[in-house]
Amino acid sequence: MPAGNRLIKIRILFFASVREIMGKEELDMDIPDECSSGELRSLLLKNHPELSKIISSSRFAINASFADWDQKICENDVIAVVPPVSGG
Amino acid sequence: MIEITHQTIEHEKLLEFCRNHQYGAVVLFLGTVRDFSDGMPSQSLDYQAYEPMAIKCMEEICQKAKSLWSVGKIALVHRLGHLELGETSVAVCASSAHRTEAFQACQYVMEELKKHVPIWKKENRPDGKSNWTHPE
Repeated sequence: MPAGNRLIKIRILFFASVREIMGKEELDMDIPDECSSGELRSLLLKNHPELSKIISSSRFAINASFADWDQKICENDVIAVVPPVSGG
Repeated sequence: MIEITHQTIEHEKLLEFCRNHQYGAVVLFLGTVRDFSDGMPSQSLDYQAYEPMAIKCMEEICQKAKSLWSVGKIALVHRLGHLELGETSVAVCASSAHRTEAFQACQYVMEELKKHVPIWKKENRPDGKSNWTHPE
């Protein structure tokens, strides 16, 4: 986790089975500044180990675009946990 | 014409959108709710989406299809919410001068949609159980 003490506010969106496991559609979190998408995944898993199975096959999106795990998250970003999709 | 709707998909509207005197071929694909899925009977489906991102992904896929094949127009509509057996969950329509490009564009759009667009379906089984589908 980055060394800085500054925290930023973000929102995480949940869908499908992730939403069922979390029991909510979204979660507001304060996370360390400069946190990456992958580090947020670790944070989320630490707080919600029940997500471990589905998170391992999920991608993250930042502001409605798929993100790499090293992509940095900024203040007020909206992050979506995107489990494997099944539209069609 | 790229849409997400909670209403019945009226596929005639997609045909109308794509049909044009310049194009000699119009291909329409409908995805419909079937009564058997993953080896088990199915009674109905519920669809959910991350709508702003789904629309964006659907637009990108249709743009890409237009860059790959010489197609005229493409229309793509996905339905959300509760669907009964036989109802249309997705419709894609493409027009082109000749049939090959229109068939290929429709096929491409559906394959990409199923791989990348953030939409999920929940299977409701006759025994009352239901589960979200997350392909491996």
